[in-house]
Amino acid sequence: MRLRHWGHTVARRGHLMVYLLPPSRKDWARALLAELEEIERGPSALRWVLGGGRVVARGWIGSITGEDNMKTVLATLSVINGLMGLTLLGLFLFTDDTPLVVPVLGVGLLIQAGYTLAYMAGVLDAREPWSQRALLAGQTVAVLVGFFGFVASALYNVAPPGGDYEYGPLTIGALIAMQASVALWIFAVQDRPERTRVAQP
Amino acid sequence: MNGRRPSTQTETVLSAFLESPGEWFYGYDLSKRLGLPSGTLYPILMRLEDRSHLETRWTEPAEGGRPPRHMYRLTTAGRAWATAAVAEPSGAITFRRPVGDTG
Repeated sequence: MRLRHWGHTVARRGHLMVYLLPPSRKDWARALLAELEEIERGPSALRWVLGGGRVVARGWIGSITGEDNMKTVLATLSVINGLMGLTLLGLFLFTDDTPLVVPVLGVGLLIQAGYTLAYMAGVLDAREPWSQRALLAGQTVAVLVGFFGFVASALYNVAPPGGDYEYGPLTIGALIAMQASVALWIFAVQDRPERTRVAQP
Repeated sequence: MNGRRPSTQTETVLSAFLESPGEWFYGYDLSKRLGLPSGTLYPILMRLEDRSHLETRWTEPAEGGRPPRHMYRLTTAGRAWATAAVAEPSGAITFRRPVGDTG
């Protein structure tokens, strides 16, 4: 059974969305909708619609952000994290009674920032694909740790014991999570990871 | 894709085009034939067109009441590029811009 009423309805609604897309992507959105008329009703049609929605969303997001802009943001956040890491280490070395967690976080920030910048600069080329897998794994863990730290600090600050607010862990959690989120975002919005030619001997 | 090796999915799409050079393909037919979802196939087609490897046209289907469909085939330059790209050995994965790639 051909997709008829359902397909026409989605297509009509979809054509309204087409007008919101950047000019270079309008034809492609129309093409996706036109193909929908040819697809049998059921899971195939649903998958086509979901995939098409992803393409349209990417077109929108891409026109707003641009991958290169996001890479600039990632590099900037990495530098900020690195500076924060150095600050925390300095705090531990030059002040008394600094808890051990401070330099541990400082080292964590330095590793996150240093590895990301080194990867972006191509220093780890020779270690592909493991360097990329390590980056993805590390950033995934960083998102979780940073987010957890941010939420835990925020909850603590709702009713801090003795009225002693803690903004340090809140800031560090946010920095870790933001940097990692942008790195993972770049992977997510790319159509697929680019593969560079490996130099032949 | 200047200086970059295409992804496995892109290679699959290119191979399908190269099997019948000069033939026009529909998106859904390609999707079915290659087992690629629309969310994967169309970004590849869009990228190929952006880089002038793919030409597109709208066609009126024979059956009335249906909207025109978008069709695709490799350009002459695209065929040459695709033949070379598909023949290249695989490489490593990265999201960095390759050195010297200004596009």
